[in-house]
Amino acid sequence: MESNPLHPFELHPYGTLSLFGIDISLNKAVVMMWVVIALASWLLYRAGRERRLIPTRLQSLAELLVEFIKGMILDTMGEKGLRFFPFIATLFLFILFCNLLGLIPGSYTVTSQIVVTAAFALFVYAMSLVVGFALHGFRFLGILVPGGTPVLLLPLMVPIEIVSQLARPLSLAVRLFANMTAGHTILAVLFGMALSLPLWIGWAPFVFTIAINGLEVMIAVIQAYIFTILTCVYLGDAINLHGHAEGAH
Amino acid sequence: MTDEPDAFRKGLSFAARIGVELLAALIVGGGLGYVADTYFGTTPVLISIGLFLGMSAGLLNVYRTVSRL
Repeated sequence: MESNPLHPFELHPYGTLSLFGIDISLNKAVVMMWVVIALASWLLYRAGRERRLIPTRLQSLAELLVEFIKGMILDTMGEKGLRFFPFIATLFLFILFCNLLGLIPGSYTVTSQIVVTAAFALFVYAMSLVVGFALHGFRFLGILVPGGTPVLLLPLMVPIEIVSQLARPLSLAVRLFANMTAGHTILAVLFGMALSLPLWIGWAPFVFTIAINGLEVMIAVIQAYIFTILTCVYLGDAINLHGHAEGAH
Repeated sequence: MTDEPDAFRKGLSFAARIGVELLAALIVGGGLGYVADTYFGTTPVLISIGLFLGMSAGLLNVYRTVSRL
């Protein structure tokens, strides 16, 4: 019996494989990502193939999803954000499927590897920078000066803004990784207790395992939602420079 | 997902966000201070400034998240 609750997060390559000196050996996480991509594309393709006026169940689910993501983009970025719809939708679906499929016993939660979430977060952040500089040029640096700052406070506010900007990718990556890892560790600990205790008391952690699995499903959806909406917010900040200041009040 | 009341969803996502927001800014501020300190050899000065900047930035981020609600 495996006693280390962190054991499920360990990755072992299936043999070694390298291309031009770069290690590209496969492991469980890579295979799991392929499964996620295949399943998400297949489901969405099946849902969108027929385009009936009276939708099938799968089609109406997909329509709900599209409307949901569209509403999220309109809320945070406005009309101009709709051109990022394919990117946002892909990101949301990929993270959602990673989180949910990871809950199936025996599979692997890709988002519990900080490499994966950090890659997403850095990409999103770099993208928001590129979009900002492409749309506004060097005026984009004005994002470091919050609206209505007195000139006297500028030497203080600009470093604070720089730090708060740099904290964005970190908080984005750590939030998803920590939530997934923590949830699965709790499940592993409780299940280990259920297995190692005698039956008269061991049923209690087992019941908790089931209850927390339900909670994990909710967390999986919420974390995917948070990651996506923060992506929208960051891209929205880059698109509508200082726009949020007027929008919020 | 869309069937849930909007306020509940927003509140839940907000609650799950706020803690990491504080911590991340603190880590970035402290980290920048630490790196600058080892580079310039001014050990206790810049990391203290960095930590204070990080705290302020974290609070600012949280404040922004709250006022966006």
